[in-house]
Amino acid sequence: MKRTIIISLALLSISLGLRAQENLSAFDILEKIDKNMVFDTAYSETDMNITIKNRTITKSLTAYSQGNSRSLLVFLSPARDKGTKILKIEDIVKVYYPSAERVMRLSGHMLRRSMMGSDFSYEDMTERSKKMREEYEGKVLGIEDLNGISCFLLELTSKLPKQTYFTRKIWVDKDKFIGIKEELYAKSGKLLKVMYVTDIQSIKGRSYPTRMVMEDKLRKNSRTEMIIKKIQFDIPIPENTFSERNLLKK
Amino acid sequence: MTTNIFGFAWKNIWRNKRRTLFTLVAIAFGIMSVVFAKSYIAGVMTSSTEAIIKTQIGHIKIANEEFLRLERIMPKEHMVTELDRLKTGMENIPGVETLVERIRFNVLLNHEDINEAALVIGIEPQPAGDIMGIKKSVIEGSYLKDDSLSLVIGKQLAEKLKVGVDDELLLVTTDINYSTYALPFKIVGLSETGDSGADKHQLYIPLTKAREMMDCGFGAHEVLVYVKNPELAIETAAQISSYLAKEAPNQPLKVVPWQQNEFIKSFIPMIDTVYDKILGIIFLIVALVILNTMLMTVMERYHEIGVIKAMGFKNSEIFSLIMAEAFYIGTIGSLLGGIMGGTLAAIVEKTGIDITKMMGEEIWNKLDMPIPMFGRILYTDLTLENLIGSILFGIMVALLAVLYPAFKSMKMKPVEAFRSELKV
Repeated sequence: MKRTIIISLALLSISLGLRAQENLSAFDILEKIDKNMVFDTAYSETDMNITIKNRTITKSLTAYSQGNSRSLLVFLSPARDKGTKILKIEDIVKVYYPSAERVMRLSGHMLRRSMMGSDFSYEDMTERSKKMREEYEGKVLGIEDLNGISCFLLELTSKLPKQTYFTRKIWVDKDKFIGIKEELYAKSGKLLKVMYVTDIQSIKGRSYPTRMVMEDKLRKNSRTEMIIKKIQFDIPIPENTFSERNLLKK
Repeated sequence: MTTNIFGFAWKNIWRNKRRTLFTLVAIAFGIMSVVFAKSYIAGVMTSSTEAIIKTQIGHIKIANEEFLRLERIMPKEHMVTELDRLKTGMENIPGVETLVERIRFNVLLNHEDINEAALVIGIEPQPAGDIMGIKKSVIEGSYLKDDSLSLVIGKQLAEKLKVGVDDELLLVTTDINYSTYALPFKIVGLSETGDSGADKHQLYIPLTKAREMMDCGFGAHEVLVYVKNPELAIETAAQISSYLAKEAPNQPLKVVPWQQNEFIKSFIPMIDTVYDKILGIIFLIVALVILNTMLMTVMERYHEIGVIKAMGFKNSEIFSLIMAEAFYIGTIGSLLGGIMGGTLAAIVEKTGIDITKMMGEEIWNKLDMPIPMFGRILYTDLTLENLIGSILFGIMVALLAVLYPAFKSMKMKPVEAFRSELKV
């Protein structure tokens, strides 16, 4: 009898302990991811491998970012893309085309278009967790194993009917608090895109996803792999980096 | 005896002039409608086929097999290449009149803060401007003059972008190697084709600039061949095909004469079935009118038939008499109808009907037709086959109409006919 009580108490405490972690709301988890990913400034060198059918094209770029809201991408190769710059400030995206020597501001549904021929859209690049908290309702569906990693499975449903991705399923690494897979659905339930992280590296004590794949399911046999070859956090970046004038500078 | 019957029938039909005249008019108008409706529909078919050939597919279309297979999504990388070399060779093939190279791709347009997606068509300003009717469609400004960064844009698209002649438009696209490329163009002209799909979504730029944007050397998505004799397009296509097989064996190319074009092959029969149904209804109405009038003509005369039967006319003679009368009336009426319908169709074949006026300018502009099915003015197409067929149809219906009363009169007893009077 005594033994039974001890065992049940032990079981209770274990389950309580588990509950404590499970009690995290979907937004608590998203916030934890943010804390892990947020930095004052970052500089990175990235390769983007776009595969369409049997053909792969590599585009390399450098990225500067400040916090969550400002970033600048500068394409280095291939030759025809060299010098193309994408500036993002909050939700505004401006693109500079060197061949035309013009800056174009993208707005509305144009943000849903493919960015530089990849499976990512401009919108995919500009989304921030703030938006997720404001525009989605989230719940934790449970804990699921993904490739041997124990993950929270979150489901976010949009409060706005016109949202590009009405439902999002996110698998979050329970220990590292990194989203390692995301499925994006239209309101009809059609799967639009799948993103998954293929490599996580520890940089200055931080776990950071350095390889990820995006598949646009509306494009046939298409995937884009992003490989961060080099990343530096909290380095000084001149303030005028994120200005339109800088876009026009060669 | 037979001659007697025919003579008797001829006399008979003129005995009641008013009745006969009424029947003749009914048949004549019926047949006139049939002749005109048929030539009107033939006109629609001919002019839509011609319009599709002229503005869309040429008499012969040359393209990469993959491009044709996936034409709806326009896979930009599948081109006909080395056209600098191949073009002259093809131009020298007998029967070939003009070649038009065409590049088509989707772009993002930008003017100030407005973005729109559109379809770009890259063509050599000439000969494409004249042969495809693009130059004629320019309603404001001018057509493309040279290979500079200039464009002609659909009027409705320009309105959406809030731009006009002399404004600058930025075109952004993905080239055949998936690189992003942009060029600023100056709007030189606004076009209106009547095909609202084109007016809302298309713009034209010089071929050289389209090639620069696509980064495709001397490539083109399609080469449209205009031939001297459209009837010989299949033969000319075969010659082009064998030339290309020899000169460009590595390119998987397809040479499609207009008769085998998928669009024509799927579109024309579709329209055909719709018109067949309309024609069917017209035929039915005309047949019913003729049937009714002819039936009345015979039924009215039961009493009279009873009398001649009592006078000793044989059943077969009465049958022949009724049929002969029907033949006379049917033939005269149908011939009259044929002449009237034929004349009307022949006049419209020359002058045409402005269908925009018929349906109203506003409705015409709202029609979102995928292709320029027909121009604003429609011409009928009268054939001898139509004329003879319609006249024979009229005679046949007249004969068929009296078959039943003719049989009935054979079986009838004179006594009953007297008693029944006009009650039928």
